[in-house]
Amino acid sequence: MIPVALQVEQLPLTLLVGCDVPEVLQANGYDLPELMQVARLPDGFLVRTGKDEFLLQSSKPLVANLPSCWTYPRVDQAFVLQGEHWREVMAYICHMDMGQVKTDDWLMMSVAGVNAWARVLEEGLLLGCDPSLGEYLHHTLNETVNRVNEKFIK
Amino acid sequence: MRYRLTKQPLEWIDRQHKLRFSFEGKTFEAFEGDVISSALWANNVRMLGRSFKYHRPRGLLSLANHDVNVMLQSDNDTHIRGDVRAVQEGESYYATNTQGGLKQDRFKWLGKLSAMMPVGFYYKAFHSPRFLFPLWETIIRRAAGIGKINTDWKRRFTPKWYEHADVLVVGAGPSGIQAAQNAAEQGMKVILADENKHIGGSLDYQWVNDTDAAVIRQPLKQQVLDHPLITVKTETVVGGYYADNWIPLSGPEGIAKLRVKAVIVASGLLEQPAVFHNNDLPGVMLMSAAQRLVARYAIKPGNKAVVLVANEEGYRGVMDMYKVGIEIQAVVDLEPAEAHSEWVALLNEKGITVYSEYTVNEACGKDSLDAVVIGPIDQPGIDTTRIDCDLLLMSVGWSPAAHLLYQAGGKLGYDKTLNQFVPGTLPAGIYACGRVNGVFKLTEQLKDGERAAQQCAAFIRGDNASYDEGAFRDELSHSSGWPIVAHPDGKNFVDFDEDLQLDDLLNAAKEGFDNIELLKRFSTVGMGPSQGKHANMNAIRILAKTLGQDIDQTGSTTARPFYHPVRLDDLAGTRFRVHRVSAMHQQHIKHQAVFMDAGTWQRPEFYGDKARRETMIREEVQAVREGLGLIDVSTLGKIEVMGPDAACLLDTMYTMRMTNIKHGMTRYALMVDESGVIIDDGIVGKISDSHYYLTATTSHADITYRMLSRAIAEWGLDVRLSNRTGQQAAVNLAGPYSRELLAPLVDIDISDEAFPYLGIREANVQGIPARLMRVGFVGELGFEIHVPYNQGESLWQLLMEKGKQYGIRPFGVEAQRRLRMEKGHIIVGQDTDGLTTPYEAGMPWAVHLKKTFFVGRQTLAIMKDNTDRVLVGFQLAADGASTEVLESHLVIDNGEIRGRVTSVGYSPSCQRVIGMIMLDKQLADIGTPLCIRTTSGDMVKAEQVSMPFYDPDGLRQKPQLDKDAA
Repeated sequence: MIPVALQVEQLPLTLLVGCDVPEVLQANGYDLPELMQVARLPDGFLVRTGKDEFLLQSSKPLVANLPSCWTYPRVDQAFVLQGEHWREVMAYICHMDMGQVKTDDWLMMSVAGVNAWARVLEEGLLLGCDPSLGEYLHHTLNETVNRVNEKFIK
Repeated sequence: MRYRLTKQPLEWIDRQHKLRFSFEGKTFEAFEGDVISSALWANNVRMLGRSFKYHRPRGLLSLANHDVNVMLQSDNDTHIRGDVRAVQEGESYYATNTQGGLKQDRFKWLGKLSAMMPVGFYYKAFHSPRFLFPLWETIIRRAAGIGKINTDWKRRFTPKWYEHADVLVVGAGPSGIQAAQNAAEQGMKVILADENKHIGGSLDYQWVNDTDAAVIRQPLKQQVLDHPLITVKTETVVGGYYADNWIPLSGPEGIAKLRVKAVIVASGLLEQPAVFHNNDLPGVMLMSAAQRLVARYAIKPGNKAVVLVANEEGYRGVMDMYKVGIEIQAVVDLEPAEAHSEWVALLNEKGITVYSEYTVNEACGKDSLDAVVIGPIDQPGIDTTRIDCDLLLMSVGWSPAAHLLYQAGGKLGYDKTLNQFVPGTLPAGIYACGRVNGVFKLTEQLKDGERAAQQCAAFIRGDNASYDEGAFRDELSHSSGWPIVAHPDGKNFVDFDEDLQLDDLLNAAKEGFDNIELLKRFSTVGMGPSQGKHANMNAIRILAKTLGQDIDQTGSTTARPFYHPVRLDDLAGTRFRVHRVSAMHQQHIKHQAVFMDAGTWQRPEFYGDKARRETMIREEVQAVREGLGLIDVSTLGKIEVMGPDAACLLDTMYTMRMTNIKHGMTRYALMVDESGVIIDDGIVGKISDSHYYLTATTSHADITYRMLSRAIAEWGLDVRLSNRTGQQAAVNLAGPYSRELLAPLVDIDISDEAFPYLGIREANVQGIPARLMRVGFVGELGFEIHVPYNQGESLWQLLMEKGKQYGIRPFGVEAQRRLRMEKGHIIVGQDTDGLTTPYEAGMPWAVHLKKTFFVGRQTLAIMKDNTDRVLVGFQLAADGASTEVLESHLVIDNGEIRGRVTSVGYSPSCQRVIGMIMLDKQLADIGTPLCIRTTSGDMVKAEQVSMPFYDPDGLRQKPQLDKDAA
């Protein structure tokens, strides 16, 4: 088993903004997570990124018929880091202390000099960024993962 | 290896693995684990380098990782420190500061001229005659260089990484180990860092023959090596201290950037040399260096030794040397006999003579030590005795390795009992223990380490318990207050790095440099590679005595990061070169785009043959004017603005009125700062009463988003923002046939009546959800189409495919610049600078002063009639050699700079070079010629013309022309 594996994913997301969003989400059957926390869904997750700002990954259609609720599709580039040494990879590219995070924490941070978000998985990290930065971050992650794998395989 | 001893109990070398290396062309043997200096000493090589200024022969001095005497270079590297770098099999090393080799150095006579090169010599000489300065500079640079850089060396990429812990313990000597262990026992995650290859510190060389140390040594070390909460990092230098416990750890693999909650500094002491005539001769070394040679590398430092002491560590060292068979010719004690009576008695029993209240006046020898001359300390030059020896060991005092404490904001004070600086006031979360804290007894060092750990843990827990930080300090002096002897022939070096002698510092003080910081800068004491580790304490003592003040009044200099030299590639780390690409990037590659950087974005500058750049650009311009062009404008900032106060926000952030934009329409949006300077532009489109969409320039998109966010917070507006810059791909379809191409592909009516100029519409382009805007930066009928990022490539392919019948051609940034220039449209940041107002840019129409407030309004109201410059159009003669004029070339009038070219390029439509100039208003007059000075210095005549250059009435974008084109 290699110490760290990197997978690339296209992650269709929906950004919901506006003071009516909590009501809309509840009307659609979602439990609202606390700020910067992830609520797991059968086919994705819901995260609260602001007082009335949420990010939703779900294939379920959303009924949003209140005035102060704006929804936008997001096509973030996503990466999954998995394996025993995923924290080691992050140590090369991110200043946050990954030893302190726990499953389903939601992080907004700088990774290799660009803005990114992350969801802490049970054994890894789901990392996302603006799609225009996807190629750069993929390249950087790939190099870093290779470096860490070389180190541990040696 | 004739000076190699039998196996020593704690030695660091592996005798099973022999290595061969060469030094100055001669081959030597070493053991794995030897550093270069130790290996050479084992082979009886005494001259290891030459000094920086006078090229004097130098040998081992401290062997403590900052020994500037031994600076080497190999075929692949330079600035190799001989006391740090392990010997590598097959490597060849050379001393750096020589001309023609170490022994035959062509500058070895320089020391004879030292009387002609006193302190401040470089500042005072060479200034006149002025024309000779370049000659002196060349000579000095050639003579003074340390090593040669081979630029063909293979680049080494060293990553940096982040680490986190509760506590950093600096130094793995006895107190540091104890502190780490105690902190870990209290649940703290600890990093224990030490610059040496193995932990133990002074425990393993200074206390190597101590029976108490032998009992505690192994358990003490093992407990930290085994503890799950302690990470031990050897060969790791704690380079410096930065705010909020941000600390670089420089190790073999590079630099770790560590963040901790608290720091315990157990960095120990730096042994200080005595100052006497020829104190730099090879064979004169610090006692701790000799102890390290013996304990770590099993090397006999010499055969016949004289030892100069002022403390009990020196006497303990004498016993260590005696044990390995060195003949102790004499011990010279700066202190009275009663200060060390027990030791004196012990040595006398062994037949070793101790000269109390004596000093070494001079060391004798040509390239290495032959003898020393000693005499009574209070009668210099009188009643002297010459003693033959090949080794002179100095143990006269210490200076704390307190750089981290200083950098953290700590204050140190001079302890007159110890004759040493000790920590006074330290910031919260910073603790010192062990010898750096003035604790010398081994048992007390362990207690002090425990105290520091408890204090540290209490701090992290938030307790405000009080601790006596000086509780375990020694009550005896371990340093001489004046280990310095004047000599009529000088060469009594205070700073080995810079060849500074006692008289140099005395003269500097007499010249008025009577502050330690001034003295440092004038004399350069402490400014060499070892950064004063051997020099500063004595320099302070000299200045204090000269000024007749005490040490505390004299003060000390600031120790800056990094503590030891660090490789530049380690400092550089791995470069993160962020680049963004649009959804159409692969299509650009397919169309042979030549890319340029636009901030972090990669954008096509033009398409086609790189060698035919100008032709390609002109063809692209022509395609847009006559047929159809397609440009990727995904880099534009794209921000959704939503909420009841959205219009109010935009009204206050932009100069034009935004509250009266009609539904489905856009308006040019100009942003200025509080001083009225243009900072961004774009368009604002009204989707609904509570929903607007705006664009911003590529370079300012993120800043505009931040400024809007801040305004919302400051003014308490009910507005939400969503920055869609990277989420939306965008193209501009421009040219007379744009409507014909687009109309059958969309599900809305895009006729002039249904979708007028400056309109904004939601639509589907062959099933791709899109936002369409009829804007015309390039001055032709055009549609800007914004779609989700993942649909961008499909949109591009669709338009290129369907546009073939109209001769569609992709065009790049340069063609766009030419096209907009023909229209007289500005590019913010190119045609404007950090002072340009809308009035100067010829855009008074974009400033709605009737609004009661917008950012910058007050300034613009004042400046409306007070502009000194104005942006004007110019053209060159149609037949002229046009391409000489470039952006930033200056307009010269009567020898004065009167303007600057902001944009310039060949206009296919005008058939000549056109451009814009930010010009002094007094010269602005249509038809008036201007002189532009080109790079070659030639003056090119330009004619001022009105703008736009092309289609001044904007008919190309208006309905009638649309119909004609159709």
